Amino acid sequence: MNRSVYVAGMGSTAFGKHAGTSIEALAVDASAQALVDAGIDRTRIGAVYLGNFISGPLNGKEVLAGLVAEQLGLQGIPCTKVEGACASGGIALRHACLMVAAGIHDAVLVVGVETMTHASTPEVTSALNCAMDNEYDGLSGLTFPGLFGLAWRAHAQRYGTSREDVAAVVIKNKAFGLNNPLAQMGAALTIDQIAVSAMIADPLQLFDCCPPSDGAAAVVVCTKDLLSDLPNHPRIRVMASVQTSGSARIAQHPDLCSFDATVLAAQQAYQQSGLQPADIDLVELHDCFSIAEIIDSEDLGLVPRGEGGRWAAQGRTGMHGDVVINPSGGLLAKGHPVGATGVGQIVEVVSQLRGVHPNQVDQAGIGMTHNLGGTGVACTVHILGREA
Amino acid sequence: MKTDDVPHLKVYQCSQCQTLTQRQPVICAHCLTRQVHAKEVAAAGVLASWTTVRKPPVRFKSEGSYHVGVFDLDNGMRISGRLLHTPADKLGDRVILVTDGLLQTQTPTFKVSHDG
Repeated sequence: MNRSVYVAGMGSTAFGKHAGTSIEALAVDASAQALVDAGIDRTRIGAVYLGNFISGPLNGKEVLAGLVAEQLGLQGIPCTKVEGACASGGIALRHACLMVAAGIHDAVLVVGVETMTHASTPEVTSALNCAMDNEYDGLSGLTFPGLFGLAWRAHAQRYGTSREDVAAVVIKNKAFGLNNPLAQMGAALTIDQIAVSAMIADPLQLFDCCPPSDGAAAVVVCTKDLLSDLPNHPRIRVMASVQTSGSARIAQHPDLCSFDATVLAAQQAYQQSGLQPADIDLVELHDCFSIAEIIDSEDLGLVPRGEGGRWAAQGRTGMHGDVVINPSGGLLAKGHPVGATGVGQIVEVVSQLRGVHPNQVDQAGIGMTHNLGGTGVACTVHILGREA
Repeated sequence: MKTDDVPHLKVYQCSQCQTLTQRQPVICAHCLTRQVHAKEVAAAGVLASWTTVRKPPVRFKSEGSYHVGVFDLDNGMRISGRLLHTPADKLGDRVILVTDGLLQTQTPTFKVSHDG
């Protein structure tokens, strides 16, 4: 029953500001690109999974999966919106993979989408705070930047991680973003510019935070026999697709410098794929904040515990480092249209494995994605591999 | 400071497995019993971490900025709440619950205790 699952096609809008474009229009744009890229007849698409987090509070729109499918001429098939805060896109992909693997559908469209830039900062902060346990942490006035401010201070105390170490993540990702046409906020930054930016949630500063974004990304997953034989489309197999959960309450996190859901997801992904951390050529991980990249890299087993900051500062997570982290620019530079992010990460990895990425990693054969929701309440990890 | 002198915080305890929770649960997540009772615990411990929220959500916007902390109580409970911060505060400092003169009462507020 467990069939192999492949990524046949991909599409994405640029991440950034799309004033005047509806959330459905962005999703339709990315989805249509993915369907055309896959070269699969629409009648073969058995289901649609759409990842979205806060279209209700920010747009007053729900049932997005059905709205989008209708505009793509996909009728009568199951269309499901999934929500898992910032991991909504990754969860949508996992459910699509399960359906293909289980033999329920032969091909499934996955799309993630969000629009945020039309709302004020307090409105966006409030909407994102829907992902907190508002009977617990929400009552204290904690925010997501605040959560990562707490984590940074604890990481700095325990491991000696410095402002310079954390800034190295920002400088690297913003520089990658400059070269990625899908990225919202690439920049050539210096430590001095970062260190004088506004304080958001001490010690987290403005350049340590990903921007609010609009955008959509889509992929088509399918069985091997539905793959097109286009010469620039190597077979890209989903080697692991994992979803886990962790506590929504910060006080239930035994370690403020780690997310249990990520650690568990990584362990399961390595087991599912039969791979080791050293096999991963590149990873697109959930750097919603600079310190998050450091913690994620350790939780995923890619960097030794406590060394994430130093590895970043030493260039060991850069283009020619031990493992290339966020060559897309990550959430910090590419932007974070929340529900789209997990699918956007897959688009980036597929581009790498096809060898056509603007920041191409040499000999990229295996790529990982990591998508984290809320306070680590939801997590997905995917591993994609190019077949010879 | 003796335990009797320490301010106490109302939490909840499972009557069956004794698990403590900061707020009243519908059921005990460990043993699924509904028999949970209120309990006063000594609200002293150490400062695990804190941050200053300078971009609050709409409901806290009128406060401007404020300090949120994570506190490890001496009984092993980890709880989140507000911190009455002073520039000398360091992680690992002793903290106690503050009970007087607070604007925000829905969440516990702690301060670093210099009484040891």
